[in-house]
Amino acid sequence: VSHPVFAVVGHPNKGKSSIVATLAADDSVHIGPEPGTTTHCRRYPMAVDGEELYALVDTPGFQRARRALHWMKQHETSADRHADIVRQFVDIHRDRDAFPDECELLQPIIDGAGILYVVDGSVPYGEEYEPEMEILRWTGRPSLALINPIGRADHLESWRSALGQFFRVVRVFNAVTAEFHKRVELLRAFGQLDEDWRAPLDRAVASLESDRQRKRRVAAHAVAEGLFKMLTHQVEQKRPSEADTTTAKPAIEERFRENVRHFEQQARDAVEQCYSHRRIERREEALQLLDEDLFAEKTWLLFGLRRREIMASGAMGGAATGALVDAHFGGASMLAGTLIGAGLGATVGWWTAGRLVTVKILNTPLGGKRLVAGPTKNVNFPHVVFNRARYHHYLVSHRTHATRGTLNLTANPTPLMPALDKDDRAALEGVFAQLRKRRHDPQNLERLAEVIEAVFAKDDSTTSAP
Amino acid sequence: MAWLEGLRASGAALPGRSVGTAYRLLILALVMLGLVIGWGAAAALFHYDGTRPVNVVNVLAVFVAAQVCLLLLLGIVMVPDRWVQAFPGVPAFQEALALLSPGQLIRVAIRCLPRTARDLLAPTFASGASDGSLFGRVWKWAVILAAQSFAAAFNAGALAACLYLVTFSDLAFSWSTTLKPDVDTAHRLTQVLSAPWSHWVPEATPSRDLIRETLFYRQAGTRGGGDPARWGQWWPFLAACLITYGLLPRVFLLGLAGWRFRRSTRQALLQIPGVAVVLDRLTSELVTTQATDLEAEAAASSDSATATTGQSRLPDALPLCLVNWGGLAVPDERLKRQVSESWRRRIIHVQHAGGRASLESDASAIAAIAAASGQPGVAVLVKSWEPPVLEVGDFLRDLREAIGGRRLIILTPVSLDAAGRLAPPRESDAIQWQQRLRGLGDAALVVRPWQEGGTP
Repeated sequence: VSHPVFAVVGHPNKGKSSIVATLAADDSVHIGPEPGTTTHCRRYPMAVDGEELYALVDTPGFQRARRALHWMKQHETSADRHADIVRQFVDIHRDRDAFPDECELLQPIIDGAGILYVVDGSVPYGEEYEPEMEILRWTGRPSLALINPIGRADHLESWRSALGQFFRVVRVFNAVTAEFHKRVELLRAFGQLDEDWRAPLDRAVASLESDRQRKRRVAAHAVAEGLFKMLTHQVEQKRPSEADTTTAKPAIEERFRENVRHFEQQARDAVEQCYSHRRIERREEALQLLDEDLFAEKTWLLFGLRRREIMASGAMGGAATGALVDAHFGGASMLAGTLIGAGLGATVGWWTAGRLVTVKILNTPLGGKRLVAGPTKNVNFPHVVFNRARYHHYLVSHRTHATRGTLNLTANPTPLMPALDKDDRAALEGVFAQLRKRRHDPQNLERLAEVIEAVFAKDDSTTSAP
Repeated sequence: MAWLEGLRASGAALPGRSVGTAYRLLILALVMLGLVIGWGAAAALFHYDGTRPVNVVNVLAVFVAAQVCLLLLLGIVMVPDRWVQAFPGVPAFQEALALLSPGQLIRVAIRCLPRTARDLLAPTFASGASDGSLFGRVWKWAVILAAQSFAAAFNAGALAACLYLVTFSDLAFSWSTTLKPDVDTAHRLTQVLSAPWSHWVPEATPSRDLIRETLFYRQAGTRGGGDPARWGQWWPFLAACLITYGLLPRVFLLGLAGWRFRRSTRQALLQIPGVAVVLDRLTSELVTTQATDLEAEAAASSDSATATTGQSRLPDALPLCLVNWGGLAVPDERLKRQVSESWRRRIIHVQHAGGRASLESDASAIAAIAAASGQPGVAVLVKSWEPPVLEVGDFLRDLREAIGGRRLIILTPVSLDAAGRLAPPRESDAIQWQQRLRGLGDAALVVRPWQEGGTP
């Protein structure tokens, strides 16, 4: 083979599939408490722009290792023939019923794969593992043993001691809690098994690290977009000028709240998808809006003109007229004409706009009330939303693909996540202030995404609590 | 990228292409309209039928004063957003001014587009889009560009009409005003207006004499005097005014608007939600680690297999043979004693099988159990934390074959406590063993997890 392939082998139900799910970042891997869920090999190629750099192969567990070894010993001639005998064993039994699992799991190894032997470090070492380890030794392939502590009990030392007799490299790797850097370290360790594997694995590690950064960038953008939408969202309803707005408010407010929550959930989905978590169920408290009064009543006018526009136009017109008067006096009036003209023009504009609202032409009103809910004005709201998003991102980015179960966002994040440092807090507050001032400026979105990405990068470098 | 290029090359009807075509058609229509109106305006202002000469004041009012005013207003509209925020009311005034622009015909043009293109543009060019949102700047510069196309064409049409009339007719110019006519003031004004070109086109600057001689009084035909041949000498000045205050600024603004329009379009495209991600994706490596094929169906659960009921119970006095399967780390004597005390029955012997033991050793154990007198029952103790592999089933089948179908076999998953004594297994482990061994279809095989003091 031109690139390394690693067969993940071991006793049934010892976390082989969990290891593969975590290393391949694939949450489609079936992981269950019942043994023997993997009956066929499944390949997980790691490719960069279509070029395969290495592959993992999930295999069924040993079911009749003692009998298989018994057969091999019966056909043994000398130690240098061990690998051939294993090959012979697979060739003879491939289409028979006696050793389907052994044939399936040994096939990639005799095809040249390296061996990742997985055991559960939370149960005691047992002598029944020795036949399978012996078979693996007979294959003569480079091998590494991984102790995957599934439960809480600690039998690591006895395992280390036993595995050390069969494998050159023994590592502890918890598939459920392994941070990204630990996965990368493990890949580097694979490179130590064979000199020829080092270059493709180093390249793979570099690509995975840059991909991790890209994912973080994309996630930061998704969160920033969600925040941007939530902080600038408005729900508007036009009403006749004489209509009572109190009855319409609850429905508009509910629509506003639903929309804001929808934006938040959209961002959550995007972040999870970005980290290839497609099957997460979340438990999270619904977002509460902090504003006591979201509403503003404004007037609207036909042709899209707003009252302030009419007022401004009036002011400018008045100022221009006043300026002519000033010019007539050759500047002796000290711009009084311009100022008075602007004031009068603005007043007339305001008054005219107010009157226009009630005018109807062909029974079509020229204006009316604009009932506007949002955007939220509470200065704490953006921080609340951001902290929720940050906690979610933290949990998702630290979650391995072997983890099953609901993502609980209701727990207190404080013990896990470090507090924001002063600079990040100031940068965030700066962007939030800009958003309050100029809510539609798309550059605010870019600035927000940059700040969030910086925070996420720091979070990514912290280790989650076990 | 290849897909996109292929799509573009195929000439498919892309919505963006329709929009671009519609916008270009609109610009073309505005240019034609500008040329016609400009020509018409100039033809009207330069009209001379031999009775009343062309009034220079009218020409300057329309082609200089009005245009300078419009340019000032345009200047206000073009002030960047970040500069006007500090002045309350100015953004609103900008928007109000923009509504008066001929570029607003874009909205009419959009209504003429096919439905797909209209839907595509709806969120970007909808009303209110000019408030600085995602496509606010694009909208602003699209309007300004269209307006400048019209204005430049208007001035070009006016200049063309002016030159045509000068060339193909004999024009007479004069100037008159109801306000107090003052030759000195008029001369100063023309000096100011012709300042940009007076050094290198001096003949396009009216002299004081020309101004005095062409002053037109209320009494018909009364002029300031002088040679009638000079009455036509205003045209170089007027043409220069048209070029300097009309055409050139508009051509410059047209170029500026075109540049800003393209720039704002590029910037807006980058700011569309999702575009940054797509670009990021296109410019970075595609790293895939997941399986490319679907996972094979898991083995059918043994729940569905024929299950032994496990209702059988050992006769009270029946002794037992014990099998330590897989090297359970309990000395034989202790094992014998604990089982015997807990189950209150006699243990004949303890055999070892599985684990590190050879297959021959398994066979010996089976032979010893088969040879035990009194048809004792068999209890196979297994490590509950280890999964039930097929080897266990193989052993149980061999055992059954050796001892016959009637003798009871009890398979007991056990755990070990800290002192190394037998302890009840975790429920999940016990269930796992029960489920797997039901599939053996052995009616006299019972799975009984270890329980202190329990009766098998």
